[in-house]
Order: sequence, then structure tokens, then C-alpha cells
Amino acid sequence: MDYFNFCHFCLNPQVSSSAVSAEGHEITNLISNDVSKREKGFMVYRTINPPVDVTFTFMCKINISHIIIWPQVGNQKSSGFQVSTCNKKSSSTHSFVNVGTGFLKNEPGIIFHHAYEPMNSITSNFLRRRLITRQNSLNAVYAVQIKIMKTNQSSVPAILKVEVWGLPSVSCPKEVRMKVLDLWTNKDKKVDIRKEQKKPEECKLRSTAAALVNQDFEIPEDFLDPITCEIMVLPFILPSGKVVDQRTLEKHENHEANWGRRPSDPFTGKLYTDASKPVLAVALKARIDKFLIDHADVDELKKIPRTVGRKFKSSSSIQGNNEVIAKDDSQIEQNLVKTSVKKACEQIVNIGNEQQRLSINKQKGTCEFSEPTSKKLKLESVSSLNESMQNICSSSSSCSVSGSFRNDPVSSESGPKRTHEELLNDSLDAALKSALSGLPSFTNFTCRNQKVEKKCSFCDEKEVLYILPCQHLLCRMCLMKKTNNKDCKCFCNLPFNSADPKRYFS
Amino acid sequence: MAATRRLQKELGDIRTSGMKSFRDIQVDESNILTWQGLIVPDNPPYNKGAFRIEINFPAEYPFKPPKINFKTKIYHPNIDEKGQVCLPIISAENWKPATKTDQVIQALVALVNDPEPEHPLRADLAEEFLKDRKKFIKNAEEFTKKHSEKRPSD
Repeated sequence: MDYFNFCHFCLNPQVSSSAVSAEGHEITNLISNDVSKREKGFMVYRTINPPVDVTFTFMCKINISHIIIWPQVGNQKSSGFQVSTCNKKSSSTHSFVNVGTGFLKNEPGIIFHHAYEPMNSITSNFLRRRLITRQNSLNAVYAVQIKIMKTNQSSVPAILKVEVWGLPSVSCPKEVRMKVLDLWTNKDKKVDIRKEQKKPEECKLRSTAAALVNQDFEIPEDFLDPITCEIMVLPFILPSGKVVDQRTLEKHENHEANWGRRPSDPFTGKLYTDASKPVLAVALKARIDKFLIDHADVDELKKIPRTVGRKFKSSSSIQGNNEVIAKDDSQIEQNLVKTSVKKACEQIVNIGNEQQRLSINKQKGTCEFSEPTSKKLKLESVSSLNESMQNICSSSSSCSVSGSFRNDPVSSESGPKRTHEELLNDSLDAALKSALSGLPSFTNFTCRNQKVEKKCSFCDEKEVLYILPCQHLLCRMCLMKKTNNKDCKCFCNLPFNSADPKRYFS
Repeated sequence: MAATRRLQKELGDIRTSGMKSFRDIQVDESNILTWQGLIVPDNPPYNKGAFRIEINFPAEYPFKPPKINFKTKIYHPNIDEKGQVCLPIISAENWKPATKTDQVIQALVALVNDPEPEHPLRADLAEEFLKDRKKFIKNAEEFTKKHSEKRPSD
């Protein structure tokens, strides 16, 4: 890998120190273009003790690869360093994140490195420490702070040279990256070449970086979908050996489904089987992703979605149905919340009317409250409803009137066997359950579309099913029986209208 | 639009390939979905003229097939008076998104060169083609002379 040294004076870094420096050993020596000044390095005034902060600010945001510190100026040597980085531009609010600490024993220098470990004959006996990545602490870095924590015996804090190697962040505009490259490639021309020995790796850097910002940008042929000729996001290998994008496959499947055909290879027309079906081209995907990241500043590629991976739906016909069902579900649920709350309220009011001891105001309040907000019903409203219902419940517990629900005449059949309180509790539970069913649950992780049992709730019939507002399934026979007996109530005790059941297709 | 990039590539490919039987491709700058071109058949009785066609690509191309229309009148069992063609390769149910336009044009040229009276659009011409080939050829040649465009010289 090839990186830029952002502490090199050609890349216009800025440096500052928290301490006063010794004469001739100014902090600016670290980034000076004068070789004799650079050789003197940075040293603080002799009475100053650690810690001493040295802060480098760069011309653009950078992704750090490694940092090399030469800690010895003459006989003065610093022996403990802490490196921190900052992603913010404004110097007043520098909030630095610690990315590495190192204490030297006899080593001549220290290298903080990340994934790439620099190997060099000069720095081979340096102490090595890994940089810690946390919260993007190594990416899009605007400033690096080196804190001198400790010195050798009675030495004065000093640094001879610092190199911060990295690449311009991908978030930088293209112009900036071009400028960095330009400055870096031209650095030798402006300076005397006495000290700056051209390293072979820097030559390589030039060529690759030049390729990186090449104006004649072209997407490699094998990244293009052969059908749409657009860059692929999720490449899939077909049984026929061709590679196409997932979006193309999806569209093709949808069009095939319009003809009532199962998904097939768009090149050969062969139907997919378990043994031969599209497979994600992982290696190609990785190459495309790398390409997209490398060319993040190209306008053409900015629109390309970045995927981490999406569940591939191989059967579009099923998928289509699921969508329809899902839509229906949500509509039903919305309606359900409305109707169930209304019904629950009606019931309360009915009871309330019969037992005139209760204050009517309270129930009216509940009704008014729940109706307009029923669509985006909040938990509070449910709980308050629940509360008021319990109040009614407790106050009516002394009364043993059965069949108090005007709107379901059948309850009188079961009424005598169960107490009024039980009935109320049941209907309360049902109402609460159905009211909550439309709201997002954070404790229940089962997928809504995964209905395990697709059979009638009464007789296990699986053929012709109808779905009730409470999401329970009934077969045609059971439904007919119920509607003929005018027993319009699900087994979960939630009443429904004769128009409510809808045909359910699995 | 999804179709644009694919059509640009196909148009470039066809223009560079230099098809002999399909020339003079004109595409409106603002609308790449409509192409016009000249079909130049090799077989008699159509080898005395050239026929202008229009290819209309739907916005959903390549997931839906293009439509081909003859702008020049032609005496052909598989092409009706309005210029509509019955070409199986671009019928909606047979269409494969991997099919390239040059394959479509080759199929069209082959159909013009060798009529298929088994699936005619004009039954009268098909009957004439099957029963009285000489008369058909004579009529077609006259019709071609009268209505078709000039063949490109090269």
C-alpha cells in the first residue's frame, strides 16, 4: 500500500504546541522545509515537564494508516507518547479521541500502526503499537494530537520528527484529492534533494494515485449488468453462467410472473430449481464495492445504492402475494384498532347506562378520547381506557346481570354459566389485544408474515379460509354456521360484522 | 431511465458492426426510445428496394420487447397494410430480456427475405404465395418498384 505523509511540509500541515519551546527548537521545525531546522527538531523549554501536547492539523480529512515518531533530539529523549485524533475542523472544539499509547525503553522510536504494518530498515527496531479504532477515530481525521507523557530520566520533552501516513478521506471532494496528489508528486522539485531520498514506494504511489483520480473514468465491463448495462449492486451468477444484478432478476421475475410463469434464467429461459438457481457472486460483489468506494466522488456512481446485502427473494409470485397480504394486514389492523376500540367503548357505555350509578362523564371522556386518536393509538390511551374499564368493572362486580351486551344477543346462552366479571374480563382482554396488535411490539420478535398455522381455528380445515378482523382464520363451513346462527363472534370473543371476513389466500 | 444505457450500448454496437441489411439508423437525440432504419433485403422480389422501419422501445426495455413498424408499404404475407409485423422473437410472451436488438433485426430481415405463409397477417397474400408463386412475385416486384425507397448505392 502507498500512503501520503501528511506531516510533510509539501502538504501544508499546521502544528502547534501547548508548551513554550527552547530557542532554536521551535515547534514549526517539525514541518519546516528547511533541512537544518528539521534536523534540530522540537524541544520544550528546559523547565517544562510532561505532559506536552503537539497538535498537527492537516489540509484535508485523512484516513490514518500509521504514525512514526522519532523522539530523540541530541541527548534529550521523550519516552512516553499518547496519540489522539479529532474529526472536527474548528480548533476551539477539538475533541480528541485516544487511539494509542506507547512507552519506550531503549527503542530509538515508535510506530503506531493499524492494519498495515510498515516495514523499513530504518524503523525496523522501533517500538510498535497498534492504533485503536473507535468511532471512526482513524477515518476522516482532521487533526492528530501527540501527547508527550514521559521522558527519559531528567530529559526535556522533545520530538525530532513525526510522520503521519495515510490517504485523503473518501469524503473529500475530488479537487482536494487531486491537489494532495499534485503537491505530493511535485514535492521533490521544489526542495533540495539532499535529504529527501526518493523512496521506490513513493514512485509506485504516484502511479496508483494517478490512476485513482483519472479523469477518463470508466466502469469495468464485468461490473456491468449484461441486460441493463448498468453497474451491478448485488451480482448474482445464473445457472447459465452469466452474472446479472439482483434488481434485474427481480424485474425479470415480475415480468415473468405477469405471464404466470415461475422465475427463470433470463438468458436461457430455464426454470430455477433447488439445485440450479442464482447464487450471489461474492467475490465480484467485493470488487464492485471496492470500486464504488474508490470512486465515491464520481457523480455517476453517487446514485448507486450501497448494499450490505438484502434477502434475495427467489420466488416473486409468493412475494407478490405476501405484499398484498401485508398491505391488507396493515389495513385490517388499522380498521381493527378503530372498530375494536369503538366496540369496547360502546360496551362500556352500555354497561354504564344500565348501571346508572356510574358517572357518565368519565366514559364519554374515554370515548371522545379514543375515537379521534384511534388511528395512531398510543399506549397511554389504551392504558387509560383499560383503567377506566377496570373502574367500571369493579363497580359493576356486585351486579350479576347477564347478557348486558346489547349488541351480541348470543351471549345470553353462555351468560348463565359464566359470571359477568369473567365476561367483561374476556372482552377487555380481547379488545386490548386487538388494539395493541397494530402497534409495533418490541418484545415479540416473530415475523408478521410467518403464519405458522394456516388452517381453520375450529375444525383444522385448510382449503377455503376466511380471515376475520382479529386475524383468526375460519373455514367456509364454520363461517357459514356462525353467520347462520347469528353468532358473529370469533372464538377469541371478538365480535365481527357479516361483511368483515375476507377470503384468505396463502 | 433504465433503458437508456442499454440502448446506447446496443446502438453503438450496431453502428460499429456495420450491418449490410440494416442501414441508415436514425435516432432522435432527445428520444433514444425510437429508432428508424432502412431494411435492405437480398432475396427477390424485395431485392429491388429498401424498406424504412421504426423500432419503438418501451420505457421498461429490456424487460419488455420493442415494437417494429414498417413505414414503407410492402407486399408481404407477414406484414399488414398498417405496417405491423408478426415477429415471434419480440412477441410479449416469448420475449427474453437478454435478446439484443441486432438479433431482432436479423430475425426481421430473415422474415422479409423468406415469408412464412404458415402464420400470415394477410391471408390473401399468403394464399397467393402458396398457390401461385409466379403471380405473387410479379405483384410484389411491381409493388416494390412503386412504393419502396431507393437502395443505398454501396
